Amino acid sequence: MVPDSIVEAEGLGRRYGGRAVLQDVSFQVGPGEVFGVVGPDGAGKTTLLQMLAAILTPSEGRCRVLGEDVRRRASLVQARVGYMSQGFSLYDRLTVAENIAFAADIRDVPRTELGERRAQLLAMAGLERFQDRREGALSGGMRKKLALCTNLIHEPPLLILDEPSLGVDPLSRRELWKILDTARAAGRSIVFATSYMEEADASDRVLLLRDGRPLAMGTPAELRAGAQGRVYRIATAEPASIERELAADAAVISFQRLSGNEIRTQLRMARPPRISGNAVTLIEPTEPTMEDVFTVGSADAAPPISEAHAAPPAQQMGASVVVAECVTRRFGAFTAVDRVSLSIRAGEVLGLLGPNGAGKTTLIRILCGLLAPTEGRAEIAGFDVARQSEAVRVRIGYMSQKFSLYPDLTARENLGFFARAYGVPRAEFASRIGWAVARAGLEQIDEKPVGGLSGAIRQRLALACAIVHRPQVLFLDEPTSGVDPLSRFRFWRLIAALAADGVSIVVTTHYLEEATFCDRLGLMMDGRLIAIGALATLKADLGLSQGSVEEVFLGFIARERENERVT
Amino acid sequence: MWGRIAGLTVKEFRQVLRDPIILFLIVYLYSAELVICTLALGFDVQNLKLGVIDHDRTEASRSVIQALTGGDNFVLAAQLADMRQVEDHLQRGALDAVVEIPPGFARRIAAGRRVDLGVVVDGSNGNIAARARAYVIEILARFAQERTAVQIHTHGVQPVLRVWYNPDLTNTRFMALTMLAEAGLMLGVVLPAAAIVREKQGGTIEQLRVTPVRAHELFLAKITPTIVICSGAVFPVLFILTLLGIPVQGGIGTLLALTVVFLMSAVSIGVFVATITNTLQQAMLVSFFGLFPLLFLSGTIAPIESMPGWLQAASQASPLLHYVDIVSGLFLKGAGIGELWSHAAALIAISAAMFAGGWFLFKRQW
Amino acid sequence: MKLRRMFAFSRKEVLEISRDPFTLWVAIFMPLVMLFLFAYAISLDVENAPLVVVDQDKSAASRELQARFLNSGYFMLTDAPQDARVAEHALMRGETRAALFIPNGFARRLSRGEPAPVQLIVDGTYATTASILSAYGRAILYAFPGELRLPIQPEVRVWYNPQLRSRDFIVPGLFAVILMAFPPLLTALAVAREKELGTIAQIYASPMTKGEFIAGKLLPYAVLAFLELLIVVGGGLLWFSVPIRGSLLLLIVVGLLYVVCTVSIGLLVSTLVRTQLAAMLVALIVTLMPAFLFSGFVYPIFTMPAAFQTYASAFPTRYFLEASRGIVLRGAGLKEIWVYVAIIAAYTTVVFLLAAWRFRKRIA
Repeated sequence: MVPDSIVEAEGLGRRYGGRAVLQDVSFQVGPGEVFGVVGPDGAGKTTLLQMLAAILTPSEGRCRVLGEDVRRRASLVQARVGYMSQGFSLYDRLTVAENIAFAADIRDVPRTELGERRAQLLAMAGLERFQDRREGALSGGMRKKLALCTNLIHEPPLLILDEPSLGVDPLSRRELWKILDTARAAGRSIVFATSYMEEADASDRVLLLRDGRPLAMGTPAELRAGAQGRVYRIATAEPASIERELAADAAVISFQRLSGNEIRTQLRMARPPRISGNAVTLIEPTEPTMEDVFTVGSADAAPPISEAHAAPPAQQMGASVVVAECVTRRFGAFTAVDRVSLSIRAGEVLGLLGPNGAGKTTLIRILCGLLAPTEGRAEIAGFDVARQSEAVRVRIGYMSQKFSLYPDLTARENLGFFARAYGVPRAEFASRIGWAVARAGLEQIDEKPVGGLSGAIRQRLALACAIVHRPQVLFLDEPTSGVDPLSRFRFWRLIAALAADGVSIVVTTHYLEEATFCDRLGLMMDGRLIAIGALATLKADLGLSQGSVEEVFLGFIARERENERVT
Repeated sequence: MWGRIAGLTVKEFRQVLRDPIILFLIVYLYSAELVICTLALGFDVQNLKLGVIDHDRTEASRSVIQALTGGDNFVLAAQLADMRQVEDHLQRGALDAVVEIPPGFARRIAAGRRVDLGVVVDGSNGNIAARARAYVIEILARFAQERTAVQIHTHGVQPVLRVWYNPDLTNTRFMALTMLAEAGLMLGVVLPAAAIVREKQGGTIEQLRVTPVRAHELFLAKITPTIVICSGAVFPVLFILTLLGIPVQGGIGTLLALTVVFLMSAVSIGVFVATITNTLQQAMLVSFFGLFPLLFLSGTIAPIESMPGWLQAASQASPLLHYVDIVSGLFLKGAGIGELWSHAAALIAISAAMFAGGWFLFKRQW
Repeated sequence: MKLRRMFAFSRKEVLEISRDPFTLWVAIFMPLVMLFLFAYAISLDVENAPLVVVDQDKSAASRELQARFLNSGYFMLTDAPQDARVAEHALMRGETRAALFIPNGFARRLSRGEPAPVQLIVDGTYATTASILSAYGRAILYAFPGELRLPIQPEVRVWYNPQLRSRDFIVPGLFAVILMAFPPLLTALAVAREKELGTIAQIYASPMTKGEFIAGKLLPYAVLAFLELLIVVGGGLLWFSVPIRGSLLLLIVVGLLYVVCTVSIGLLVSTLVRTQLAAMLVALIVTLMPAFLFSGFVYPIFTMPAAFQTYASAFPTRYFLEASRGIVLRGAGLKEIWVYVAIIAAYTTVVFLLAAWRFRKRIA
């Protein structure tokens, strides 16, 4: 029996101690519906999903899942839903097959059906070949797909997914959603949280949360209609000066440069942005996307873009600061980085794209001097990374995937610590920290341990810590992972400002739309740098005139696969 | 360089003082555990339960029983009829030892002839059995000498027994000092190990590696808070001991200096542990169970001289052994650096070896 | 309770343990290390204690007295200086445990039948050693200069352990201590690890009941702990040739019960903590320390003040220790030790129920 409503929540809320992390959430999810939950970090998305899975008791309100009350009949709910938590929730020491068998056993999947279901799911996830590999040895994308398989093995009528595509490369994300589409076609309802707006756009209905409160809810079309008139497209010959003007306009929440001469901007109110006009060839309202909806919806929480950040444009795109020649790194028989050569000029932003396991992180670690290359050499500002690491270290800043900060120290203490560790002279302490704080947009920092701060704040703090010694080169490894669109935009503004100061920046990301913020893109696959160049150049290379970053990305990968097949 | 070290050290202090589990461990080891063990385990084995089978029932046999049970060593727990009952009492643990006085005991000693007394000791607790045996032998020897002296009006050897340094033969002072030493060892190993491994686990070590910080600077910063905290803890401990009525006298300055030397050897082990482990869990397991051998070879649980020779040699590698000798020398015997320098030298040798090993291994990961 | 779910959980646990060399090493190797260390290192009787003799008399009698000390087996001569201060110094540096001073005129006084004072100084630092040494020392002095055999000669027989081999009494005690030191810790860590890594969310959001969870977790760790029992019992009885007087089967069966008890304690601990570090700390305080210090393993319980005796009774190690020593040393049967077995059984039940009651299939 399938009840009319898979989920019925009414006035749902949860407090920890005295603090409400979620309040007054009401919604319904019908059979076969895909329901997206979006919101900035700390909005209460995870709390909501945990309550739906009946593993967290609500403090307020009422909630029935699959017709059962999550408070009183929690065990019935737990038994029937599929719940995929954030991060990796499988047993890393068990193989793919063992993880699936375990999931099937504890969820009472009839033995007779197990074989068929497993074969089907693994085929869909492209994991058949890896049945005997340990979960911990899979790539991030594969681990997520496997986690999804273990949650589909008992064919639950409702799937609850907490940021399923976090940290997953675009290719794997597509495959993940292919599996989910099949599940949806089979009539399963899906409730999921995400920071990818195109995923929200593809769902039936979306709930936008902020600070634990529902901000908006409706079909993507309805939500987009709500943002109508507050999103503008600007075509211009001088994008840089337009950007400065936009940043100066208090009504502008955010803007993105789409390609060469096109800028998209979101406003606090339904009026065009104030720009002087001579450079503008076109300015018109445009159809909002989910991204715009999110940005507009978060508007009143977003402080104005401070102009102080946008420094004058770089004096000159100077000499090469980072040079890599045929850099190769092997781990045993496995080649993680394969003959990569590149050079990066001062003030240039290089974006590294590629599937999980393509070698992006390893390359960055080599360039930072954390790993010695097996072959080849790399230089930073003329110093060899492997042999002159002392000289290299004072010239680089590094921000790892995990935002490595000391969770038990406050923001100021973290900053002070890294300033001392980098040997910033005592006299310059206050000014350097002040500068880094301003650059990272952290003027209002809390004096509480960093462990309790939101991901977006920690991200900016990690950036501040990485630049406190004014490095010439900055390495950012997935700096925007799991961060909401508006915070990501702000982060990229900071990066642009640093580049304008003449800092060379190497950055990896899974958000392909962010590629437009980079001067050049490097596409990596299987350890090799398969293409490098400006987005427009890459497009031309593929013979595309139009097309998104994703198409370019997939195009090059397809071409590479084709080459492989031929040779 | 000094600026970097200062920065690193300040950060380490902050982290230690903000970690509730670490703080709890420090306070627990230096107060609760110390007090519990001192109060509970400091007592000498006394009042052993003695069973008596008196086949003689004369004034002489009664005076033997009186000699045995008159002191603190034995209490008369049961009068048994014959040996057949002994088994049952010992099985149940109701008696620790039994003395059987044969018929004709009084007659034989009056005639100056030799008498054999049957003594049965429960060997299932070796600790008690060894004492019981020694006490019985001593008491009967004294009894015999006194009897003989009266009979033949001659004096024999007049033993003058002095127990130095701990006249009442209680374990309390020694136990308290041992616990002070053990707490120092445990924290000295665990704190730096945890502090270093935590950086590995949290990924911050990567962040440090891209700074100009050198491996030895990190080492120095990691061990400083432990040494400061644990040597500072000596003062509250001395105060607690005074409250417990345990007098402590001796040179505080020497104690502090030698404590720092001891802590250096403990932290050197901690640093070594951190270099061979990758997660906090591994580091803790290795430290706790690595501490056991050191504890055992320190002579605090069982006397070193009864161990096999190879273990006695190995015991020289236990910092605890040297430090226990140092504190008992300082507090119980009134010794000074003149007597204790060899222990200090051994501690320095241990630190040097462990630091060198740790540094060598860590350098390869840095 | 569905057995399939429970066994699936146990099987997963076995796979995880078998692929974690570090834990396996701790589980199998460390108990053996402890067994060897304890069995070799702990000797509670005193033999060959270092002795310094200052013989100022240098007579036949004084040499005879010295010989009596050295032949007793309790003392071993390390130095025979002329200067009393050298002996005092040796005591202070901890180089000797005792010093014997035989003053001038010792032989003369003895022959005249006058009291002949001899001074024995014992280092009281190690009270246990000191009290045994002083007793033996005095016994030798009292007996002098008579025959080696006193007129009243105690014929001491040590039952159950005639040579007073410390190993015979340490090893059966170790069974109790080791099984309390490792299994609870490993169990608590395993659950805390699932909480830390978030894999437990998968269990929460599944039909598994808490009974299945607890039983499924208990089973593999009880088996592992049972393996440890077999290893230490085997090692103790074979390598150290500790004779077992009672029934080996009884020991194993009671051991099995005890193992379930210790693993349940680990589970109970794991329901109280969230992190592995906290699990380790709590385990240290509620299992390792009481097992080692408050079980009667080395420190006899009856010498403790009443409050601590009660404290000691709150931990199960002392009961299994009694049972184990009873079976191995005294050849006790179920008739003699049933009380301890009953206490362990009751304890296990209570702990298991508490753990099941405390465990929640909830994040918070």
